[in-house]
Amino acid sequence: MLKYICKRLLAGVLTMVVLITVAFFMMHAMPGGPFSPSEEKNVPVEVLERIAASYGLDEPVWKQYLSYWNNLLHGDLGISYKTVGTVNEKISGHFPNSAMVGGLAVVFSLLIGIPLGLLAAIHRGKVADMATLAFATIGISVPVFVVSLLLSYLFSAKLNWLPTYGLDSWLCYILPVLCLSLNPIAYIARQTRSSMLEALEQDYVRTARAKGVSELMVVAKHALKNALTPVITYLGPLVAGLLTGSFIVESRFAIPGLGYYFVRSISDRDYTMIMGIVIFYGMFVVICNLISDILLAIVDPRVRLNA
Amino acid sequence: MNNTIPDTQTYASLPDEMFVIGADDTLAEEIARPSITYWQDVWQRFRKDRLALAGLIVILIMTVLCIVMPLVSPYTYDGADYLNMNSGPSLVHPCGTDQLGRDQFIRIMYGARISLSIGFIAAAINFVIGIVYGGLSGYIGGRADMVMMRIVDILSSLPSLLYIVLIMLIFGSNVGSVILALCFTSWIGTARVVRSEVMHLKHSEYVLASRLCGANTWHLLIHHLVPNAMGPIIVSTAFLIPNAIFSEAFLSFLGIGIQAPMASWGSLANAAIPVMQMYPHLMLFPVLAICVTMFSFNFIGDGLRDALDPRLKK
Repeated sequence: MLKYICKRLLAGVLTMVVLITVAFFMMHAMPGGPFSPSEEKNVPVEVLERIAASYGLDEPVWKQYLSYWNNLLHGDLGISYKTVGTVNEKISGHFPNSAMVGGLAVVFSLLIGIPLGLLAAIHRGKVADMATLAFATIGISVPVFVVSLLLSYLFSAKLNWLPTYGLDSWLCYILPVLCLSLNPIAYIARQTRSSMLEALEQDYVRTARAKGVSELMVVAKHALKNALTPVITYLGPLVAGLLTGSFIVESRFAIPGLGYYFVRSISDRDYTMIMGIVIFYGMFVVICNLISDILLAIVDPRVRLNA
Repeated sequence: MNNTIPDTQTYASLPDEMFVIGADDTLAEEIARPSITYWQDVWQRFRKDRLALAGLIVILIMTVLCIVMPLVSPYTYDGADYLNMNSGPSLVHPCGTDQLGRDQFIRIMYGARISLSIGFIAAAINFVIGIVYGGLSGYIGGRADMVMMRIVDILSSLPSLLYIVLIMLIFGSNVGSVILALCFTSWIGTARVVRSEVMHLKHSEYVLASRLCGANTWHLLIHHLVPNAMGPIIVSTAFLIPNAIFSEAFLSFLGIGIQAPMASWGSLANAAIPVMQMYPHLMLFPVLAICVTMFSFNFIGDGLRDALDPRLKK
């Protein structure tokens, strides 16, 4: 088990190194820069060059790359070129907003998705099953921006029940969390249903029933544990994606989160900010995948043996 | 073999008035129904799935409409009808007109051209890359497989928005760069499916037999491994089409996809947001088009999965 974790950890570090390198050079390949004359038309070219030089942007890219690594290893993500403050401050300031909304969405989608899938699998072919499948198809087919538009139109513009922007009260969280979790709920419900149906046909479930284990225990202990492996695999990328913020939902509901600032920093060519968020996001994906791999190895011993 | 129907010599001792009725042993050799191929079998199963069939018909109708309508319609995607600006649905303009008096129906049809072609082209490219990459990785195995899978892991942990926006900025906002951006990592799913299928199949007897006859890697992959893994590959590709269409709509909705005056479903929906309360029809029809298409492709994907691999049917 320890060997397995070390192996995955090493792969994660390697992933991060490659990710940082690729992102750095891709970013510098973008046309224009943070202080390019084509974007800041009111400032004289000489001044722009001076500013760029003071940030070390006049040096060759490979030199900038090395000095970026030097700062990064000291835990410093640099100063934001286009906004006031350091990137570290920006990320620690915006991340909690994204994480709060995203975290609620993860919890909500698990709490709704797994029971829905279970219900559908147990009542296969009945009304509950049909309803779940219909709901899941809608959840997968309707894009997030459509859902967010419809919900904010219905609950905010027409009924005037919920606010459309900000994070001032708990009411503000309802719409963004709903929008974010619809797709994951649909996916988790479908996945739970199909793997549950498979698990219920297995020999060990028949054995458990033959022993006289109650139906509740058969479902909860024997079948569900094995049916959850695909959900756990899906959980890694899901948590990483939701906690670091979705651009669409954050910009629709005016939430000052990472997803929103990420897109803004790309269009601003705010190099340090882009890199900071990419590194943060990458770390998050790697860690979440690591945790879901470890969880998987705990739930399913076959994974441990094969590794 | 024929122990239930004894041959005629066994009955030689029977009295003349007794003879066997209805057990002609030549009939046992006869094939009652024409034999069908795997794909005919798949089609027969697919045909029984009403939702999938309906999805297929909707997509076919939409494909024909989006090819034919712009050719026969009096309107174009950028031509304005100044007498009917912001008009609701009518006989002249079935989906109404927008703020500049452009016919919404024909704009949706142009959007359908973009969405469907992006969907099909992206899926085709992913199909090819996924098969080659996954096939090689799974077939060669060992160290090469390890390296190839690590590359895939790294690619899939890149934030998609970063490279999509970068590609759009470098190559400009047009259909080509949208397809390029979408194909950058979406083949990974297909490649993983192909890899696991090939790893599973490469130890089969028929592969061994073919290798003993001197077949090389490409022959084995193209003639034996990939055709036998086709079911799961097609299913994963079928689900790529709605994903690609959705991503294009998302990008255009953000304003970095298809640029005005050309229309795509995402940009039409985005353009309708400020006037949504006054002219809801401008929002309704593009969103409806997106949803109907996504439903149809998802139903087709589900139907294909059940038809290609009946074991998965739940």
